[in-house]
Amino acid sequence: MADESSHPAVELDETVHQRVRLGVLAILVEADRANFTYLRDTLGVTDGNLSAHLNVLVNAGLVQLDKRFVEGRPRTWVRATPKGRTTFRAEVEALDRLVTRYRASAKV
Amino acid sequence: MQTSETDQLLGATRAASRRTRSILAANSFPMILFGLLALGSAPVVEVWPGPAVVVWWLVGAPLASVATALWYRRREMEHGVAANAWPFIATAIGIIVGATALGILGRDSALGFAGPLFVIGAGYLVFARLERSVPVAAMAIGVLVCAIALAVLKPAHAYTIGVVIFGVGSVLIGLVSLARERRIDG
Repeated sequence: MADESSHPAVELDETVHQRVRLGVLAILVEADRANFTYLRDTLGVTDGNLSAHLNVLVNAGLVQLDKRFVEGRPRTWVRATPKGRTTFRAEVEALDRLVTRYRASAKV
Repeated sequence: MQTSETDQLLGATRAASRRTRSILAANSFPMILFGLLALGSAPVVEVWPGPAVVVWWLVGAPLASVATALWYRRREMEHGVAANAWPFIATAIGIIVGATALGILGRDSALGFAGPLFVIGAGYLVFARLERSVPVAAMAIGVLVCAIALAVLKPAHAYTIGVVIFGVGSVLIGLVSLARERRIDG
């Protein structure tokens, strides 16, 4: 963790600091779980694009995938891990601080 | 990264959160169902004073709870997103057990009609917190105030007054929620 005097950009997490991955975590912090289709449609990405981003999040231990058959069709459900929730909150706080700092300096 | 990009990233993230929260905040079915169940118990008490109303709730509340669970399950399949159900289930069980126990233990006293209403109000306050719903919180506080007023004033037909206030409030909030859900579901 960076000290308080450091620039907020130092605290940004490179794994999470990306529109789709941050969006996935934003949804999963609100909900207990979401399926692949919901994430794809809400975030406006293709199947392949979402799969690639989910792999990054899974490998970082930020989300878990649960694949099961529902009415004969495969369904992938995604959940945030406790680490994923903590990382998301820290990222949003860092982004907020970054924007606040920029606006304050722009006024001077 | 440019700050305008950071702003956009935060904006897109908040939009995804808002959409998910609004889908998960759906509560029209349980609000209308439990409101009607409460309203239906009023004539039962007026026509058959005594244990009939306990039977009404002991049969009606579990059936309505199962119907509510199935409704949420159907929404989960339709939308592809779901909340953690356990806090809701625990609160519903607490309301049913607490209200029934106070209703039976407080028979022929103020506890018998004000106690269950108080438990329902407290339970709905928990639901309001879980759903982050201001209308449900307002209704819960109204029910709590009503329970205290009935316990102090002990008017005639206190049970009927209490369930009519709760039932009408619950149905109205359910109808407002139904309109919002239809807008979101397109």
